[in-house]
Amino acid sequence: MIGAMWKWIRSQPLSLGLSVLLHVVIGALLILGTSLHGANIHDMPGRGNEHQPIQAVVVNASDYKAAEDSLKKAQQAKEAHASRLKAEAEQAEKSRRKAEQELAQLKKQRQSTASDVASQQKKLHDQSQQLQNLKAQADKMAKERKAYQDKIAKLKAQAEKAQKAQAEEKARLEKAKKAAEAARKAQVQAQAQAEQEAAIKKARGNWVAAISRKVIANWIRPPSAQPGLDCYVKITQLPSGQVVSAKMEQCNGNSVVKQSIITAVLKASPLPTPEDPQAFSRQITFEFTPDQ
Amino acid sequence: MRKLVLFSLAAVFATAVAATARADLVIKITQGVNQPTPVAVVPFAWNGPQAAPVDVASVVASDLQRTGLFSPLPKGKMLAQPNADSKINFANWKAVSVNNLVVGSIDVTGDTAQIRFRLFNVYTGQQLVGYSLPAKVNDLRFAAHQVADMIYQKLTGRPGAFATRIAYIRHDGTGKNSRWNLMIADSDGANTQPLVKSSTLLMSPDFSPTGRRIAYVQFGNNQSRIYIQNVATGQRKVALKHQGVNGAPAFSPDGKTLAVVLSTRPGDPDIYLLDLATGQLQQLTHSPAIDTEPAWTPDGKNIIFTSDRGGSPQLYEMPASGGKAQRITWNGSYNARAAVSPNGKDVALVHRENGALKIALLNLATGNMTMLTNGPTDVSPSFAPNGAMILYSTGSGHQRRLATVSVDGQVHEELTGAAVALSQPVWGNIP
Repeated sequence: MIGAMWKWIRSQPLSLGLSVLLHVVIGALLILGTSLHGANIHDMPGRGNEHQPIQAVVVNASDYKAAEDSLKKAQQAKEAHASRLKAEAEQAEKSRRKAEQELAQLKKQRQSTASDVASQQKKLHDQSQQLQNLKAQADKMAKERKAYQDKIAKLKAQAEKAQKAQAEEKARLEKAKKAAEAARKAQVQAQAQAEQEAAIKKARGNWVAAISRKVIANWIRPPSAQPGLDCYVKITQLPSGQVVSAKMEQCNGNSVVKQSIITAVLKASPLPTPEDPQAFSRQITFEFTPDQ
Repeated sequence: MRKLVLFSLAAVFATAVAATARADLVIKITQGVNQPTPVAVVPFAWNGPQAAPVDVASVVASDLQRTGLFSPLPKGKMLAQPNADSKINFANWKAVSVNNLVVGSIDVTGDTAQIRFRLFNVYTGQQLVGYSLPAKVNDLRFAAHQVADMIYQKLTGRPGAFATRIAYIRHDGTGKNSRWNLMIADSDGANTQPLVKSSTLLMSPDFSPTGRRIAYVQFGNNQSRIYIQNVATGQRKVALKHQGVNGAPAFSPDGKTLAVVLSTRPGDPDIYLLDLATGQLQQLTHSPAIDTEPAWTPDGKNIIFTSDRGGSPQLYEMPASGGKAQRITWNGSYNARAAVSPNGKDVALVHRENGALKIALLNLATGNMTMLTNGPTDVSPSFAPNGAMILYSTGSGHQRRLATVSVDGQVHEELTGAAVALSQPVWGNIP
């Protein structure tokens, strides 16, 4: 039962456990205390013996009054009286013997009571001892419990600390991992972007070359278009490559050269489209500047 | 983290660069093609009582084609045949990739025709020129050349030379039956007329700068004479009849002086200048070698001629006022018969290479010589008045004929298919 209780206590918070334990101890003390009080009544062997004769005196006085009355009557009837006295004496003797017997019994009884008291005392002592033991045990257990709890608390604290450290480490690792991941992602992204840029650049290069080829193929260069000529024509195109407008800008050539250039860019329509739509540019300025 | 920022920055930078590049995409075009410009000359609508005596559009197309600068679309490839009054659907012409379109109409009243024509840029839809010119119905061919000149001028920025004429010597028969004719023809070799008919040798015709007169050499009684003849009236007079060689007459650019070749001593021809007003002669060259074939520079200041004074025929240049002659050809062992371009920058000449006579073009500034023809018997070059083409004779004997080559050497065209001896052509203006 203590085991069960202990188990229960263990499962309870410390304060509750202590409280219950205290109650148990108090309860035990009360029970033991009550027994002790009861035992005190009989714990006066001497007085018990003296009290018993007083009771007998009272009983004998009454008997003696009755006898005196009888003696007066016996003067009248001495013989009857004498016999009655004799009977009385006998009765008294009987009573005395009875009293003696009772006394003996009482004595015996007292002895037995003393023995009882002793036994009770021993019992009490034992119980006290037991209580002491229990108390000690309880204390010990409490101590143990306390130690245990401390240990647990300590362990718990340690565990918590460890856990916290672990969590922190984990968080740190997580963070580092995330950072690394982010960096990697950024790198991958940057690389992808760089690749994309490179792809766009390449696509643009190819596209520009293709456009250039087509415009060159369509520019019938007038004899007056000689090195030193520098003409800019700005075109706007649709994503399909269809040239929707061509505007001659700065140009040091004559009207024939200008006509030939405008015709070249319009005739090159639709312009080639880039492999990568991102390389596309809606507006292009062509600079016509013959190098030979 | 810093790396990350760096990457991001790099990415942003790249994007910015790309964006900038996109906004200002400039593509340099440093070359074009040396191809004839594709044009379409649609048959002109003919509104007259009789049939059209001349296919004007066809004459125009041929003129343009002969320059080497244009390639006219064959009629069969035209998707439509609009005229001067039509609304033009340019898609029809873009579809066949022609850059320019010529449409026209001819309205005839009596013996007069009114030619209306329009020239378009197919890709801009812009009308580059629209013109109406009157012509005699029997002179439509000449009017067609005038139309071609206007189109040529608009498309090249330089004057045309279609409404011009050429002169050349036609030799028929052999031995006693030999006949020499000085012929006049349109620039395309059509419309030929004999100007001088002779049973003796005719040679070296040269137009005066205005084209009114023509100088030439005629032999007779073992004597050569230089004549100057009015093209329109046919009247002529002897300019020179010295003893020995009288040859190679060349009008000065102002038409007042005739450079000639005389050999006062046998085997030693020299260059002389004949003042046409006074008849005075001035000897320009004095070398004991052969000096011949004088040609004037357009400014009239210099004479370029052929001389073998260096051991082989080469070209020399000297002031027309007299002075020292400088050799100007150094390439090869035979360079002769100079013709100076109207702009004075080039000299067409006959260059012998591996035994073949070719027409070559010498740039006077650089000294570079370009072969225009392959020979083997190409001689007598003469510039068109606009300098775009060179007329020459090719072949030999009775197979000799006339041909033209564009100054870039791209287009060779024979003017006459007839297998007769045509030689010494000269290109001149029409007054």
